[in-house]
Amino acid sequence: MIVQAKPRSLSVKARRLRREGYVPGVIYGPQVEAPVHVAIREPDLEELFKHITRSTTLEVRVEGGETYHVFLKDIQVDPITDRFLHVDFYVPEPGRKLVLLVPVKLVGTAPGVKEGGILEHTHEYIEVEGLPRRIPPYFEVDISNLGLGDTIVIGDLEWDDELRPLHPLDDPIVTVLAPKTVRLEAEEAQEAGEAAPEGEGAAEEGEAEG
Amino acid sequence: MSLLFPKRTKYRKQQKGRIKGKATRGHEVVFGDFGIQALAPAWVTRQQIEAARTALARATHRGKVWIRIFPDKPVTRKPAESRMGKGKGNVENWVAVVKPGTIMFEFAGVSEEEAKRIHRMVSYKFPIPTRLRRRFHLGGER
Repeated sequence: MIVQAKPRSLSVKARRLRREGYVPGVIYGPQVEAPVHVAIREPDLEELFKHITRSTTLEVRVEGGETYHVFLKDIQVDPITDRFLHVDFYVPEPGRKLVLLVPVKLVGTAPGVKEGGILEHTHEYIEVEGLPRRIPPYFEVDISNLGLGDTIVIGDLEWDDELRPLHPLDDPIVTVLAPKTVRLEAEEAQEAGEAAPEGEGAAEEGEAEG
Repeated sequence: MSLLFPKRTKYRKQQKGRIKGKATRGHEVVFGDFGIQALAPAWVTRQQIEAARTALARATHRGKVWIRIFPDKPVTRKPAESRMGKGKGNVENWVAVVKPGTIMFEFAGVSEEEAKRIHRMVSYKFPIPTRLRRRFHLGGER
């Protein structure tokens, strides 16, 4: 994804910039000597945010200047008007690992849901540590084989030395829970099976007392 | 759940103060799928919070509800027909100071249509206009 930005002079106040239809932003990182102040057209930014995730690598082209490969670090939004106030772009160091939240996208329809199960999406984001070039915009998790009671855990995704999760590998990402009635029936059946001899005795005692 | 108020406070009574500006914190939906956002400044009393919580809990059935505001400000009142002076009145109630933009409640486990209906119902419990907010997601994350 490409973002066109123009350099911003700090003598022009942010409020004036916003009035003119721009959103102020800043580009920084360990390899950027001094923070680069930029202004981005608001419609461009709105369009950009419709397509990216927080772990998408962006290409910011500064008018008459350099091009930066960045991650979106922060967005400030006005709580009432919902207008974007400011954006932060982070230029990662290629050889240094960074920690990011990567969203999880579910693909397909789980057969377990058709059978009445409830899809529980436990991890909408997975916190990962990895080299910038290895961090994906999102993880695609195929749930089209997920039956009632089945789970996909973080360990089921592909990991290596350059990209590893910061959660335990047995943490569930998505589970198809059996509906309560099915679970209750199963539990009752199990309990009845276990307590059968005692249960009969108790019933007799109850009758005797009555 | 009984009405909320602090367990212990450093001082018993507070001055009124003024509510200025918009919320700079607590203005994003971070726990649930939907949030109820204040659009005007107000003191929301603990009775109003409890009424809204009850209405939300009933309407969401098995869903989850988060209360994002807490009534930590004591409000005093002098007894009826008493002469002025003789010190500040007694603490009569507790309120949460709410700035425009504050997410007061969050909830999850309901559809968008239901959430709109629930918001309409719960909004009657507050002394200010409110609106329903969805959790902010970037387009590619939906």
